Amino acid sequence: MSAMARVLLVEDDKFLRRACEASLRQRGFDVTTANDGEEGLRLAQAAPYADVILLDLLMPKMPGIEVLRALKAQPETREIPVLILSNSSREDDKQQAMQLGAAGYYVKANLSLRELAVQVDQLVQRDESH
Amino acid sequence: MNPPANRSMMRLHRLYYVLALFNMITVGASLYIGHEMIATVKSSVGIFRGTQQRLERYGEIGRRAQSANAAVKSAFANDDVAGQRKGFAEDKAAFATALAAERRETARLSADEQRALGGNLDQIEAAMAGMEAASAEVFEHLRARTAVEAMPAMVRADRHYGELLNALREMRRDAVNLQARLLDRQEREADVRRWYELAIGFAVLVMVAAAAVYGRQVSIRLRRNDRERSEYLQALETAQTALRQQTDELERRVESRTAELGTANRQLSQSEAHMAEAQRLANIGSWSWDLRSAVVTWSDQQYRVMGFEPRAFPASYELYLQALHPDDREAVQAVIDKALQTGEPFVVRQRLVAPDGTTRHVETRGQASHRADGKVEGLTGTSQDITAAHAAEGARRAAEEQFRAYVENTAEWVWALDPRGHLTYSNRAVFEILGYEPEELIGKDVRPLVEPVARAATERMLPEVIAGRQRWNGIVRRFRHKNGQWRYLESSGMPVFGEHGRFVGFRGAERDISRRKLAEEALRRSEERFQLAARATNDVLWDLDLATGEIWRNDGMLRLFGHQHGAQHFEAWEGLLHPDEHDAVRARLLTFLGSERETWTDEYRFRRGDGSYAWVLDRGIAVRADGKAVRMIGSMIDITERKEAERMKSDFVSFVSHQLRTPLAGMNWMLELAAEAENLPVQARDYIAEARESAARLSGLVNDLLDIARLESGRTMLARQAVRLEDLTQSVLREMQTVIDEKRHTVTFETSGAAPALGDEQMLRQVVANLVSNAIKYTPDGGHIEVRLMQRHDLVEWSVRDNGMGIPRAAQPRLFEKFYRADNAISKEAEGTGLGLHLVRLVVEHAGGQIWCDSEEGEGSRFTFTLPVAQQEGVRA
Repeated sequence: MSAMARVLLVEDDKFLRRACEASLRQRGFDVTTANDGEEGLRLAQAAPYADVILLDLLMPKMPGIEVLRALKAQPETREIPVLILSNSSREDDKQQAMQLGAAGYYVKANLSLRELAVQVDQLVQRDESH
Repeated sequence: MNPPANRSMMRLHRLYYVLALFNMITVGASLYIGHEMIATVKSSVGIFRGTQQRLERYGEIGRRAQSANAAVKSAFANDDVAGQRKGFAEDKAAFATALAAERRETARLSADEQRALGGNLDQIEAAMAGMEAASAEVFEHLRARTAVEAMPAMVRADRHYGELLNALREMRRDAVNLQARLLDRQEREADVRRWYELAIGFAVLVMVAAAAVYGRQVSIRLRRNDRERSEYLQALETAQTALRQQTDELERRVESRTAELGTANRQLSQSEAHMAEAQRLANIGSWSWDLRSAVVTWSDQQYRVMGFEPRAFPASYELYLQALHPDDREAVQAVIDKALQTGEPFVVRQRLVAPDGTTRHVETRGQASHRADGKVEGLTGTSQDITAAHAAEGARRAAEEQFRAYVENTAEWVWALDPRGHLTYSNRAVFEILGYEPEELIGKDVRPLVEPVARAATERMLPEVIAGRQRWNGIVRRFRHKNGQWRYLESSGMPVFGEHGRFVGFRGAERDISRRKLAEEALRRSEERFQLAARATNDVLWDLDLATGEIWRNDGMLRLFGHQHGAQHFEAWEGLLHPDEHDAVRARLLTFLGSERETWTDEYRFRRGDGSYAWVLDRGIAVRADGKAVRMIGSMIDITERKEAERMKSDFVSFVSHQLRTPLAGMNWMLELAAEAENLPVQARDYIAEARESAARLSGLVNDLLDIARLESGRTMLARQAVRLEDLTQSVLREMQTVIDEKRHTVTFETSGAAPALGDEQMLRQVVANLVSNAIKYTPDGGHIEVRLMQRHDLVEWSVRDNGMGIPRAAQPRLFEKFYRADNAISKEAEGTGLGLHLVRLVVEHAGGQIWCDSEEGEGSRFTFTLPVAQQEGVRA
């Protein structure tokens, strides 16, 4: 596991945000959190850039899918891997996110924190290897 | 007749011979005289040539003498005396040779000619001798050079020379004279011969003239002869022509007579042929029997009628009797005997047995011929083969009987009426139909039996029927049965006309169609009920003929969906399916038709007349013949409202589920964090673990609910991929290996190889996992689980069998319903949601497949699903 990899977590539900942040910190990630889409996008576009972004879809102010679109539209943020953490298991939601360039799509209720950490770590590893 | 004799011709012939002889003589004489003349000329030439030669010899003699004389003279002027002397001697020798030649020639002449030539040769010889002597003297002198003394010798020599010349001159003259004399003689002879020639020429001319006269005479005579001959020939020809004319006339008469006879004969044989042909065509033979001569005669056809070859043998009465059929012989003989006795005409029918064994029916007619005293002297008559007529008669009688039997026994009431409507004939069927015996009705007016309204209609129709001589057919009327009930009778009939077209009544038949009428009525009512019921239930009823592809729909089609009803092609239904579902619905229907199941149920979207889609529940049953579906009957119900309600429910479930997921995830994660916390009391750790399990089940429940809601709403299409069930099954089994081991189950997976199936891989994974999980769950520890995969035609079939607790028969039909759980399952495991099999069914059916269960309680269960094979085109693998 790489030391102090930066993870930006964009999640409006505070319990989820707390659990996720706690889990990732325990596993040695440098976690920054955002409460809504706008904040998430702002944080994502400002240096220091995150190594991985975890993005909820259904959020106030700006839906996650728009955040993703904006991130992929800018050269600075385009290369940052984005994992979608959603409540929707609908196929078309997943298709849309993957088409916009998401690195993965997970239904939060079906994903354990341990699995999440493994996925994030893999993305960081992959990123570093580039 | 002889040609005229011609004596003058004979005379002329003789004269002709005389003339010819004389002609030959004169020509011969003429030739001879010609020859003599030529001899004379030739002799004259010889005389002339002899004289010339002689004169030339005289010249030679003279020239030699002169040369010798010149040699002497030259010796004076020349010293070469010896040379001159030698020259002289040479000349003298030549002179002597010439002289000797002359002497030899002269010796050949006649004495008379020798005389005429004279004896001058001796003179010349003497002169030469004198010259030689004198010359010798001269030469001697000159040699001695005494020229002067030589002179006298010289003069002598000259003199001798002169003498010689004179003699020679005379000889020349004599020779010329002799020649003239000889030529004169020749001339005279020629003159004489010329006269002869002249005479002979004249004679020849005379002969030619005579021959001309003779020729003319002959020509005239010949012409006359020709004329006489042609006259004679003409006379002969005239005589012959006359003769020929007479012959021709005779022949013509003979021919004419012959022709007349031929025509008569031909007419006769034509008559005979016609007669024979007529007999043959009519199959009538004729015969006669002359009692006086006992001669029996049969015509050719008579032979044939009896089955014999015409004229194969002489006719006889005995042969006729033999040909008779033994049973008829006596009777026939009696008839003939009677005719012979009474002389009355007779007709008798009999059977004749032909040589080939066939029996013919023959009608013989005969009549007697009488003598002056009235006694019968013979019989003549005809025989006709009536076998065919006999057979036809038999057949007609049989047909009539058959027809009568038919009429009597037919189920139809056959009747005849007189013009007043009174029954004149009725068969027995009337008893069956109306309860009356025919005897009860015959002679009575039967019209009152007809229902009054129909009767009035019939009365109105009849005048037209009679006037137009029309038949009627298919008129249905009600008749009152004897027992008071109404019977439906279908009538057909016609007016009947007698002599002079007089109307004599009606003939016809009535068919009892009461049963059919009642059946029709029943059917009509049934149909009415059916239509009313269909309307009441608001269903579309349909009937599909699978052989023709024709589908019939009742008017519910128009009422509910705004489409044409009645009979249409199957495509009229197919074409209205929602494009997204078309293939799947069709596939499910085809699968059903290929199976042995009786009922088919499906829900799908169906386009209305206005283009919008309705949800329908379609149910049908298949009618099968020899295992093959030939017909389907069913009903369609519009379940759009129900579906809408379901959709709203689904939406609600979906919304709620989504909302549930957030706190659920929070629970999961917090519990996960809690479980990871250090230094937890053991009890707390257990609680947390159980809380996590509950949370996981809740997640599963929510997932299932969402999937079901999604599938039921019909708004989401599952992916249609080529899925390798073999790989998928093995993967699922690997994941479950821990649980399998825990329960010490034996799990086998058999596959005989199968093509990829068509479906959504992720969802199918759930299906397989669900079914395998159930088998594991509901089978006591150490159980046996078999998973099989195979391909049947274009279907992939997957099944899992266990030897577990099984499913009660009563629970089986409801097994795949939502929230349903069999009692024994509940008792076994309280946590089941009742959603799993429902979801499985939804997924399988969504992919165009089917799922079912075979189970015996206490023995185990087998769950089987099928999926269509993924075709290569249009499929994302």
